Amino acid sequence: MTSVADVSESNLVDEARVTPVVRRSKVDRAYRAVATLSGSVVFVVMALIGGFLLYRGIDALRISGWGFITESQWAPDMGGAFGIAAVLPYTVSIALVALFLAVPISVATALFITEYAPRRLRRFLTATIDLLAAVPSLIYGLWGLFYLQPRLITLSKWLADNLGFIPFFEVNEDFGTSLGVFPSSTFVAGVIVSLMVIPICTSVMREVFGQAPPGEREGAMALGGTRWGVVRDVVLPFGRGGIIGGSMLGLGRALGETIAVTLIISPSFDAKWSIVEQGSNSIAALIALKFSESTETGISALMAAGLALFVITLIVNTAASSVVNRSRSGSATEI
Amino acid sequence: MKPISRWTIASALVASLVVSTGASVASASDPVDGAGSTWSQIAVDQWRADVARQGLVVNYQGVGSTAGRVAYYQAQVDFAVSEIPFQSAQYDRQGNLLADETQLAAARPYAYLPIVAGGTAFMYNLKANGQRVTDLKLSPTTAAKIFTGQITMWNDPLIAADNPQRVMPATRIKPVIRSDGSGTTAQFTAFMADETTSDWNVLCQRANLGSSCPATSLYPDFPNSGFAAQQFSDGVANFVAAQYNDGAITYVEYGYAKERGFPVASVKNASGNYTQPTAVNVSVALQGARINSDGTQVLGGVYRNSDSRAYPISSYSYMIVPTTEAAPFNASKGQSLSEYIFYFLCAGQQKAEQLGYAPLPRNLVEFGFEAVTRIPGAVAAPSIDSCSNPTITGGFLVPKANPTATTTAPAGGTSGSAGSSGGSSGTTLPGATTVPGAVGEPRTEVGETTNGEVVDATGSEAVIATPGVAMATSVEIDTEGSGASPFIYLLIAVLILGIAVGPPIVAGRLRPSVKQ
Repeated sequence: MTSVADVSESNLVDEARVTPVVRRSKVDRAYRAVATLSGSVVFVVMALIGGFLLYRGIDALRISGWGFITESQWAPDMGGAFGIAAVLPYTVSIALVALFLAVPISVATALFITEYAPRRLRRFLTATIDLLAAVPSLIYGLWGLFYLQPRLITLSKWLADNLGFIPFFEVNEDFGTSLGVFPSSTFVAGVIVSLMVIPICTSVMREVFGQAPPGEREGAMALGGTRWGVVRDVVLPFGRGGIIGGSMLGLGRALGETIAVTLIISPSFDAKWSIVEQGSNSIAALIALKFSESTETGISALMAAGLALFVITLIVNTAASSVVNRSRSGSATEI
Repeated sequence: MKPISRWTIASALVASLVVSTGASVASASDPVDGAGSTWSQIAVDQWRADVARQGLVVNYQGVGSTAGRVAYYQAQVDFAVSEIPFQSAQYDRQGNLLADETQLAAARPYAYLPIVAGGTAFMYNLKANGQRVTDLKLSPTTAAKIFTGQITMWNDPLIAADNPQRVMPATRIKPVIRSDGSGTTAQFTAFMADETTSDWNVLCQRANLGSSCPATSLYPDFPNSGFAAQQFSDGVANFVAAQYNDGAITYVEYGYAKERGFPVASVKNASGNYTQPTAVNVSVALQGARINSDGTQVLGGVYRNSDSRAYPISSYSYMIVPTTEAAPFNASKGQSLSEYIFYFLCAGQQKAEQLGYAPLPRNLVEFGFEAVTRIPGAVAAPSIDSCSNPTITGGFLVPKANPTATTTAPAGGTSGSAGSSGGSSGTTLPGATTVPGAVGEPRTEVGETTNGEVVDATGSEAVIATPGVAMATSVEIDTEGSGASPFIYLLIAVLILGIAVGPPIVAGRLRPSVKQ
C-alpha cells in the first residue's frame, strides 16, 4: 500500500520536474490574474472581518481588561461589568450537544448511502440530504420552537428525574421539576442545532466515503471480507479525514448558529453544568438580541464577543484542516 | 474599433440609468428619513404608507430606540423615534465616562413630541384548582416585586392582599422578561424606576449595577433569578401561553394577550381602582402627562392619575425632531416632516386602537403642535378643535360602562400645557353621545371621511391634499430604503453584471492581439 502511494507521488514529482517552460497567452494570464485575485479575496475578507471586530471591540476590551474573559455578567450598557465567562461555555456546550447527536447519525447516514443503499434510493437520499442542508435555519428554528420544544421537554424531564445524579442533568430544586423549567435549555437548543448540522456533516462524509479506492474495496471483498469488514477496514479509515472535516464544519456552523438558538434559549449569564435546565446562551444569539438597543459601549462589547467567537472558530477550523491534511489519501489505511 | 464603441455604449447606458434614477429621486417631494423604535414601528409604517398616497415620502428604519438616538446625534437621519429620551452621562464602575447622549445630541438641537401611546399589560398563565385564574389584580408595588424577584410564590401575602376574592395557589411565579432590547421593557422599567423606586433599586443591586440605575431597554437579569427571557413580544406571549408554563407572568402589550385569549392583570391606580390596559384607560391616564420646560416628559401624573379609569402603567414614545437646519435637515424637509406629524397626531390616531396602541389625548396633541412650531420650515398648525384625533372629536374618552367617571377631572390638569385638557372630556360630551366608534362624526369641517379613508380635515393648507384633489404626480411610493439606495442597488447590479460579462469581453479584446 505504502509503495503504491510512493510511486504515485514520485510520478507527480517527475511530472513537475519535466514541466517545460510554459509560454502563457494573454488570455491565460488574464484568467490566471482573475483566479489569483479571487483566491486572495478570501484572505482579504478574512483579515477585514478580524480587523473590523478588533477595531470595534477594542474600546470595550480596554474598559474590561482581562475581566472580559473572567467576568460572567453582561451589562456594558448600564455601566456594569461584562465578560464572556458564561456566554462562551454555553456557546460551546450547545455546539457540543449538537455534535454529540449529529456526528454518529451523520456517519451512519453517509455509510448507508454509500455502502448499503440500493442505487435508486441512494440518489433520492443524496438529494434529500442536500435539500435539508438548503433549508434556512429560521425554518429549523421555528419548527423547533413550535413543534419540537414542547415534545422534547418530556425527555428532558425524564433525564432530570432518572439521571439527575449526573451534573449535566441536574435541576435546581428551587425551581421544582415542573415541565416549565426545561424548554429554554442548552439541550433543546443543541438538539435543534444538530438538525441543521446533520445535513452538512453527512454531505461531506458521503463525498469522502464515496472516494474510498475501489481497488482496495474489491481487494477486501476478494479476501472474503464481509460488507461490514470493508466498511471497517477500508471505508472508515479512508474517510477519517472526511469524518473529522465534516464534524468540524458542523462545529463551525453550530458555534455560529444564531436564529434558532435565539428563538429557543432563555439567555443566562451564570454558567452551570446542567444542560436540561432553563437558561443557556450563545455569542451569536447575544449579539442578535442586544444589538439593536445597545449603546456604543454595548456594541463595542458585542464586537469583542464576536471577535472571541471568530478566533475560536479560526482555531477549530485550523486544527481540523491540519488533522484532515495529515490523514489525507488513506495514508492511515492498513489492510 | 468595435469593442471600444461597445464600451462607450455600455457606459453611456449605465450613466443615463444613473442620471435618470437620481433625477426621479430628486423630483419627489423632499423625503424625510427616520430611524428608531421597533415598538412604534407598526404605527409609523402605517402612517407613512397613508401619507405616501399623498406624495409625502417618509422613510423609517426600525433599528431600535438606542440605535435611533445614536443615528440622530450622528446626523444620519432627520428624525428619531424612541421610548426613552436622550440619556444623561453614564459611567462604568471605574468611573470612566461611557456615553453622554444629552451632550452628544446638544450639537444638533432637538425637540421631543409624543407619537404613539400604549399600556404595558401583565399577561399571566395561572391555574387554581385546575381552573384558569382570570381575575388577577396587582398593585404596582406587587408587580414590581414580582419582576425584581422579591416575590416568588403566587400565594405570597402581598398578592393575596390584592386578591381577596380568591385563594391564590401555591405555585411558583415564573417572571418572563424580554431577552432582546425592547420598548416595552423601557416603558415598564421607567414606571418601576419612577413609582416603585426602592423595588427597582433592589433589582439594580442584585444585577450588580450599583445602588440605583435608570430605565433601560435591556431588562437586567441576575444569577439564579428564576426569570425566563424570550425574544420579541410574540416570544414572551407564546411562552407564557404554553401549557407547561403554569405560573408564568410577563409584561407585554395588551393586544398580544388578547390575541391568545389570555387574561391580563388589572392594575391598581391612584384612585384605588383596579383597571385593565384598554386603549381608553391608557388615553385617560395619559391626560396626566406633563412636560418639562426642556421638553422632557414627566409621567408621574400619568402613573398617579387619580381618574378612576386610568391604567397606571401607560406611556408613549417620543419622536425626536430637529429644531435647526443642521445637516442633513433643511426647511423643505421640515415642511414634509411637519405635515407628517400633523397627520399622525390627528387623523392618524384614529388607527391607533386598531393597531394595538391608544390614541394620544388632547394635551399631548397640543404639546406636539407646539413642538412642531420649532421645526424649521414647518407649516402652520391646524386649530386644535379641527384635529380629527378620536380623543378630541369623537366620544372616545367617554366612559362606556361607568358614567360617573366623567366628572373626574384629569389629574394632570394643573400643568400649563395640559390645562386646557381638563375640559376635553367635557367638550367631547355633546357630540359623543353617539357611538364612540364613529370616528370623526362630530366634525364640522370640510373633511370627507367616508370609507375610512383618512384624510385630515383640519384645513387643506396644513395638510397635503384635500380629499377631492387627485395628485397624479405623487404616486411615487418608495416605501423602503433611503433616497440613495436605488443608486447603490444599481451600482451593485452593474458590478455583478461586470463580473459576469467582463471576462469574455476582455478575452475577446485580447485574442486578436495574440494572433498579431
